[in-house]
Amino acid sequence: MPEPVRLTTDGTQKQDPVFLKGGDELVFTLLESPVQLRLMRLKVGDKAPTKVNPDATTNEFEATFTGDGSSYAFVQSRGNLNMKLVIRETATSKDAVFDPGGGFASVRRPSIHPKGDRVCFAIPASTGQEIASVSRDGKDRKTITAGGINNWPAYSPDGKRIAFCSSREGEFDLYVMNADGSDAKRVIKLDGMQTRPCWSPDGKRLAFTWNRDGNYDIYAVNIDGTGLVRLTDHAERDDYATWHPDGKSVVFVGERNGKFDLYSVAVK
Amino acid sequence: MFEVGSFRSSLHGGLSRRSFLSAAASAPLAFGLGERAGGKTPQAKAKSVIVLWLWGAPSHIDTFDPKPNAPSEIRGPFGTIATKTTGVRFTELFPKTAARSDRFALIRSMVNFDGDHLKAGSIGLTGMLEGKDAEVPNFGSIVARHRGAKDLPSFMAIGRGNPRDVVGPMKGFGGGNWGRNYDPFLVGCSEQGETDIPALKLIDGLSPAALDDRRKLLGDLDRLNREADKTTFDKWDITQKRAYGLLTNPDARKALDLTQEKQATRDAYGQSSFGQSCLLARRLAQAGVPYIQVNWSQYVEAMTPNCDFGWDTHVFNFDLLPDRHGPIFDRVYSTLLDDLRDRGMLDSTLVVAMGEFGRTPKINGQASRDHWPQCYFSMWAGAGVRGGTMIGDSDATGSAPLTEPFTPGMVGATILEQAGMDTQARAEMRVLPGMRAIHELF
Repeated sequence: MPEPVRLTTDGTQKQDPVFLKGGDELVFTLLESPVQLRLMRLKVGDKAPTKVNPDATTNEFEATFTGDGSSYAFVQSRGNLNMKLVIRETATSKDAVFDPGGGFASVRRPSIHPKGDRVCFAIPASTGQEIASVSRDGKDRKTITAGGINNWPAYSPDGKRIAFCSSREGEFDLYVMNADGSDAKRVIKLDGMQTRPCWSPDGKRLAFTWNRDGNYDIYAVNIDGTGLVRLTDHAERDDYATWHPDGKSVVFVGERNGKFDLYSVAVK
Repeated sequence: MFEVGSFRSSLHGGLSRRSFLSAAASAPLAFGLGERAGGKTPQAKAKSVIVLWLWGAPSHIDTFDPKPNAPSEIRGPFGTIATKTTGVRFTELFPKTAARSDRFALIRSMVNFDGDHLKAGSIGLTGMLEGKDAEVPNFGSIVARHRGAKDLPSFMAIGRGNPRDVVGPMKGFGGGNWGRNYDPFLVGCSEQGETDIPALKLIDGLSPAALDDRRKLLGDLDRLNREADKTTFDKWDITQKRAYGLLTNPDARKALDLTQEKQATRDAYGQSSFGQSCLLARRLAQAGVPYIQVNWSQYVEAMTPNCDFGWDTHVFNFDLLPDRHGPIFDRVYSTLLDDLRDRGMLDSTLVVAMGEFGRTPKINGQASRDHWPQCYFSMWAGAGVRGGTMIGDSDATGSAPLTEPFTPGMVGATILEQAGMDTQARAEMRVLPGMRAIHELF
């Protein structure tokens, strides 16, 4: 198993890395202070990230970008236990907002369609927690799949499918469905929670976090359930995988000596 | 001339300090007024008590009282794992804690008497029902009064402020109607291990750098001591006097300095505020502080700023727990138990982890869980607690105790007894009358 390469060194809590600009940049969420989550941009090869939205005073996290980077979506906390979906045009900073309502109402874990037509996300519902989507103007909410606790949706690179995890058959397992919610199938049955799937650039494989034997590590599997491989093996937590656009490596957040940094590991 | 500024003191060199100050002259070491001369507590099995206050209320079902055979709307999406205790399972989020279940006792039949955070929290930390409406003393205040003062405050709280919610602060955080003398001395601790003493008030002209130079510090204090008049001194409040005493006490400053620890030890606790706070709690116990309360608060929920929700997972419970709360608690609690054991301190340190109540057995309309005072858990380690035991049990859905319920009052009686206060001593202070200690723990 290849040794991961460390990309950051500050050790601060990080999450949700995603590539953009063909792999030249990473955007991730940083716990800047105990009450401030901030989107950060890191040019690969640099050590110091910069703020994506320097003027943001609310918490912003879980960014997801279209294939060409022209739009992105993220979660913005505008109140206590109240989190809204913001869809932003990169060039103009023009926002569309999907507001799940007042009080304790939230959306999380958005994934924007590669062409930006829709954004899917996890949202509580009377059926449990569903995967739903809205159009790029934050309207036209549609339920994609429901039943059990569904979370961590991810559009495939061609936008035709969504990977996600669901408790519909018991515990959190890995699923793939068509983008309209049809033909949902469990990819593989594993003991231990699976979370946060991400697609390989060719749309044939998924990297994900597996709580195997009590520790979070990164694995990859073909979408037909074959070819399960372990990508990380460390006594501390490895989580939040994202595939490099060249398909040759996966970046993840690794906990080492209690600190959190971005690492890259080669993938065969 | 005295004035107030603001900076944080890390109390050691090489770290940034923003801080604050104001003070005056010759303050006594006002760390608490002891009920017993010399603070002798010959019967105390617990030289120190560390309470890990899981504010916001953890779901008992998603942590240490899972119901794998219950319907899915109760069971939730987490798998369960075996522990070192035969027949006892935890959810898959706590593997390190499960591997150490032989070192702590678990009570699964706790009950509280209110479903409101502030009221239940006050009951939970005072043991007194009237605590939800009136100001009655925290267990720590009682121990502090019993033990009296030495070089360090007898009741210290670590966290980003005292527990509160959107309505305001919790009444039971401190001395209550005993007065501010018995409030906890509050210390903050960042995820990097920088300590922050909000109450520290220094004297005009005393630079932050002087904190690193004891000789200069004492010289400055002497000078200011001469300049100060009695009237000014008398105006100091107890927190200023405590802070002053802390500042001028090298042992106290050393206890607050996490850079004195080996890097491996600091790493083991992890770079989270809760982790470094628990390391600080261990250092304070080592330095002889009788009662330390670590408040789990805004550390894990930056996404809900300006409020202290802690474990109050009304939405996205099944995302927050595996992402933040579970991994942090599992790492920190297991490290604390290891650290105390390795230093030979576990036999003389009582560690209690608990929240103010549990969460609804049935998953709510937000795919999460709401407040449930009818049944929750507490975890006990050290000071003679029989590890590997489960005391009390809940029913098949975690809705109610199957066995005798254990109350916050009984928690308090147990803590006080281990800290050296017998029934007579409690009666003399008129606290927790008639409450029995949970002797099943020992």
